[in-house]
This record gives sequence, C-alpha cells and structure tokens, in this order.
Amino acid sequence: MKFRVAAWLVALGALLVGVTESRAYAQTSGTTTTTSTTGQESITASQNVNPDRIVNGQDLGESTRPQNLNPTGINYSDCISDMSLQFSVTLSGFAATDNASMQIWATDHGDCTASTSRGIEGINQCWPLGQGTPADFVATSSVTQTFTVRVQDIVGPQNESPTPNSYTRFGPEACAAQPTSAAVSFTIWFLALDSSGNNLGTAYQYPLTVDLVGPPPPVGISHSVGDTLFNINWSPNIDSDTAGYDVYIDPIPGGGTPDAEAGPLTEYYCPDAYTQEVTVEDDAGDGGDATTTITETVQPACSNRPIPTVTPGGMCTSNVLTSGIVVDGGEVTTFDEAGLETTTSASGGISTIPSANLVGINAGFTIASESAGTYTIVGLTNGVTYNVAVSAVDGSGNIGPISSVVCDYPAPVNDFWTNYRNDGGLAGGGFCALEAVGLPVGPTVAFGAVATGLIGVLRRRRRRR
Amino acid sequence: MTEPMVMRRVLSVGGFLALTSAGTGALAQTMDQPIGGVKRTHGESSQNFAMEIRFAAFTPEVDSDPSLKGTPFASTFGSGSTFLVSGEFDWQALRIPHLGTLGPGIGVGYAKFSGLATFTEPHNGTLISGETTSLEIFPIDAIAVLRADAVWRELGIPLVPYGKLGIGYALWRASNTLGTSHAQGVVGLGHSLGSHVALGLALNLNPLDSYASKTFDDSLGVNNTYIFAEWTREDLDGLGIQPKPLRVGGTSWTFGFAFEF
Repeated sequence: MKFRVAAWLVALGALLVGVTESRAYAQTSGTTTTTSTTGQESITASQNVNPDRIVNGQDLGESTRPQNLNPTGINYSDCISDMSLQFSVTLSGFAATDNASMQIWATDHGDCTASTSRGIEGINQCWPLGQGTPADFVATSSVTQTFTVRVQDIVGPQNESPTPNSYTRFGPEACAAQPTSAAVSFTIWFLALDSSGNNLGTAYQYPLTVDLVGPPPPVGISHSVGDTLFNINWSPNIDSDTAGYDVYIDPIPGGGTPDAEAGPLTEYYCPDAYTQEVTVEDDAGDGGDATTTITETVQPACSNRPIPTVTPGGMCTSNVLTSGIVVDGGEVTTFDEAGLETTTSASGGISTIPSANLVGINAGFTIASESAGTYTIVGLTNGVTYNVAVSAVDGSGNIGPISSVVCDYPAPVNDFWTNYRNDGGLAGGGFCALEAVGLPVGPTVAFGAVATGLIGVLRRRRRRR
Repeated sequence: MTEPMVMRRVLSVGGFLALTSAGTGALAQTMDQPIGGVKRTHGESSQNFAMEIRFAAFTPEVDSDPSLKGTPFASTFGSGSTFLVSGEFDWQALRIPHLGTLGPGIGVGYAKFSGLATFTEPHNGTLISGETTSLEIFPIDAIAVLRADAVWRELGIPLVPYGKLGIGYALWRASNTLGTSHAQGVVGLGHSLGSHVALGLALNLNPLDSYASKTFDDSLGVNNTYIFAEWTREDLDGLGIQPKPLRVGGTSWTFGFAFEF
C-alpha cells in the first residue's frame, strides 16, 4: 500500500513538472517582440516577424538589400520609392464585449501603450498610422490579419511640432525629415484600444531602424594616374555613420560619351631619331672574346599620344556627378588638391548618381571599409579625361554627398620591366622559360640536380643510422 | 666563357657541395662524444643542425649587366637598398676535430623594391605617374657551411668564424599596379643562377647567461645561440650556363641570429 501511494505521488509530481515545463515552453517559444499570456487579449506577429516590402503594388519580400546593409531597416531609397510595410499579426483572446479598436501608432520615443503618449490628457509622442474597426475582432478565436503602413507616414512626423495625433498622409518631403546622418530608432505599435482609448491586453511592437541621411563626404581628395588607371585618395571618414565608400566616374569606362569638358584627346607624334653606340661580339667564329663598337641610328616608333586638357589647377566639371545631391546638410568651403576654393557638403546628405557611373560595386559598396582611403580604377582608356569623386556610404546603404571632383587622363608609362627591356635586357619569359639552345645544361636543371643530390645524401645517411 | 671553362666552374661548386655531404657518413660524430679533446661537462643535448634568421640591406646588381645600355634599376627604384629577410637551415653533418662543423645548408629569402613608374611623355608637367612598379626577389641558396667553433669550444673565446660556399639561385617577378609586367611580348618573370659566398663571425651568447642557455637546451634542445655579422656575396650572373639572366644578386652585410640544435 505504501508503495502504491508513493507511486501515485511520484506520478502526480511528474505530471506537475510536465505541466510546468510545457507552460514555460509555450511562453518562451513566441517571438521576442510578444508577451503572450493564455486567456488574455493579445496581438502577436504571425509567422514572419519582418514585414513584406511593397513598392508600386509589388511585393519585394522582406528585404531589398544585401544582408550587410541593414536589410530590415529603412533607408532613403526605401522612403523615396513610397515603400509600404505589410505586417501580418494574429489577434487572439478578444471578446465581442471588449468593443476594441485596432490601431497602429509609431514613435521614436518608446512606448505608445499609455493613453497620454497618444495625446489623451497629455502631450502625444506617438502618431497614428491608420486604424481598424471593432469588427476585426472575433471572440475567443485567433485571427490573423494583414496591415499595411507607409514608410513616409512613419518617418514624416518625427520633427513635426506638435506631433500629429490624427492620421496625416505624408509625401516625399518626409524623406528629408531626418535631422542628422545618425540613424533613428522607431517603434511601430499595434494596439487594441477600448472606447476610452485605453490599451487592452498585450500590444505588439515592432522596432524599426530608419536612416535617411548618408554620411558626410570624404575630404582631402587627391589623385594620380597611370597606364589605363586612375587612383583616387581621400582622408578616411571618422564619423560613426560611414561603413564604406562608393567611387564614381564620368564618363563611364568603355562606353558613354565624355563630358563636355573632356574628350579623346590624342595627337600623332613621332619622336626625334637618335644615335647610340652598341657593342657587338666579334663574329669571327674563333671563339675569342673580341668585340666591336658601332654607332647606329634609332628611329622610335610614331604613336598617338595624349594631349593634356586638364591643366594643373584647372576645375573639373561633370554634370553627372555634381547634379546628384538631393539632400544636403549644408555646404562648407574647402580647397581642392589644386588649391582652389570648392564647396562640399558640411554634413550628411544623399547622392543619386546613376549606378552606371559607380565603380566596382560589391555587396553594396565600392569599398566596404570606413578606414579605406584609396581606390584604383582600372581598365580606362589612355588620353580620355575622367572625372572621379567618392561618396561615403552608411550601414543602411545611403550614399552621402560626393567629395570634390578630380579629373585627369590616364597615359602610358614605363615600369621597371619596360625600362629593363628597352635598355637591352634579355631576361624574363617565365619561371620555366627555356634556356638558350646548345648550352650544356639549363640553370634550373643544374640547381635542381645539386639540390636532388643533397637530398639523396641526406636520405642515404638517415638510412644508415 | 668557353664550354670547358663553364663545366669546370659548375663542377667545382657542385663538387664542393657533394664532397661536403658525401664524406659525412664515415666521419660524423655526435655531440655526446669528446669533441676536439674537450670532454663535455654535463648532459648537453646532441647538436646536428643550425638555423639562422637573417636581415640585410640589399641592392641587386641588375644594372651591372653589360648588355644594358642604361641603368633601368637605379632609374626606377633609385640607388637605395631594401630589406632582405631570409632564413637558413644547415645540417652540421661533419665534425672536424679541432676545427668545427661542416655540412650542407639551404637558405630562402624575400626582398621587394617598389617605385612609381614614369610617363612616356610629360604629363601635367611631371614624368612621375601614380602607377607602382615593383621587383620581387626570392633568393634560394644551396651551400656548404663551415663553422669553426673550436675557438669557442677549445679556447673558450665565444667567437665562431664561419664561411659558406655554394650555388645561388633566385626567382624574381617584375610587376606594376595591374599585375605581372609585360614588355616586348616578354613576361616579367624569371630565375637567375650564380654563386653564393659568405664569410661571417658569430658571437656566442651562452656565456652572457649560462643558466638561460642551459634551460634553453633542456627545454628546446638549443645548444648555442649566436648573433652574427656576415659579408654575403651572391653573384647571379648565370654561372656561364644561363644566358643573360636578370642580375638580382649582390653584395650585402647580413646580420641576424643563429641557433644550433
């Protein structure tokens, strides 16, 4: 009997433990943005926490950017395209007697559940994005509903004074509302409100990082050119917003029409002939070391050579590059590499230069490093004047205002190897180049033979031991 | 240089290396045996190898090639030196009583020269372009090494004079911003062969801290630690069997650390 009672107690204990564990599991298995309690009214995210992005009626999915560029946040491009966010939330535990009203509010100050934060007997810090009807709620059962909110409505009121407490539709001007290049954290609240405006049950909140302003432009711009290449250098930004840089070029390499001030500027040029003394081996065939010095005339080949169109200190002009700034935090006067006065953006902003002029894009950047300060554009045409500028890019993919524009034309160069060969050097051709025919043994073979011999001796000695 | 002369030169260098290695079978001793009549005092570990970490200010003699009309190396990179970092591993296969150790060794290194290429025509008032041009050199040496450590072992003077002789060899690569250089249809890659000679003096550091040196031996088996200065001559002129090599050898003073173990 004692054993039977003990067994029942153990079974009962196990049952209690199991119930406790299952309740704990239910509480922790929800999304991180919900706090669901059984038997109470609640609003939770449905399967997908992140909303779908809708532009011009087309569902673009949860993200439109590379994963390294804050894919679930909002940037200037999202805003200006009049993107909408489509949320799917589940409403449960509501009864018809609740007479609740579904409303969606946004804020950059935190909590919208308190009625005062929505302007009821207080100064509102939240603004409404739209509202549903009491008929949306079904007693005792769960229902999933889709709600769509516009990005411009979310970000537009952030600097409005007073903050609107009724729904206001904002336009593209909302995308210029962010005061600095620092990102702003918004929270979108899905609230079930009673007839007095009090929140019922557990609301659902979705955090949203919004960055509508790109970083300030790089300064300290300088450049140099080489054979079919253009180097641009700058002082790396030290702000907290920059995540990388985009480099722009005009005209587009390998195509496009040069800007009005540039052009394929070459001339046909024949260098003067010159004489040189050459020492040649005596070809008598007697095996001696006799040599003879002769004087020969050399006529270098004629070729097209570039004509400089950009004089040192001259201004560079590119309508494509300089017309792209749409948001600017003000201008500041600096001096370009030629010492001339130039104006650049003082703080952040947005550039909208055509992507065709962007160089070497990879994962959203030309260079994905704030500390970078140089970039080399290759594959250019010698003699064509190129305008080049660089913009800083933030972690949300906003492209800031461009730096001052530098311009130059690539031209042929002589590197060490060209100088060596032009001076009569005969080496080269690869690590495996064949040696002269008729010689006793190739140097590589000779070196290899000695090395092989040494290894052989080593191995033989080891075996003896 | 005639063919018989070339063969004699190759055979002399190769023969020296071969003799160094082949003769070791009969004469090799271990460090546990009496050395030069001096009995080791305690259980020192056996010593069979040496390793060097080497640093040198190095300038190759590219422009010494008589077939060159100009000085392409100096006009591109200037007349300064660059840092040559290298390492060497020696097998002290043969111990010669009252003299020292003799054995083969191999060394590898790296040096790089960089500069800015020049425009073919003046560009905005200058000839200096923004394009880099470089010459990378990878020296590889197969040498015989004689270390006269009897001065230290028998006389107690912590100095070890040494000499090296063997074949010098180097792989090299000329490049610019766009990659390996090409000129006149020839790629800027190649190799050069020659001779390698070195004379040096090593200072044994063990007497400075005998406790540390013994601990070094007990824990890692390192018998002797040296700093050294060495005159190094690498004459990569082709040894008469390679026509017109890029002369990336040169004369340099080399400094570094050596460990015998």
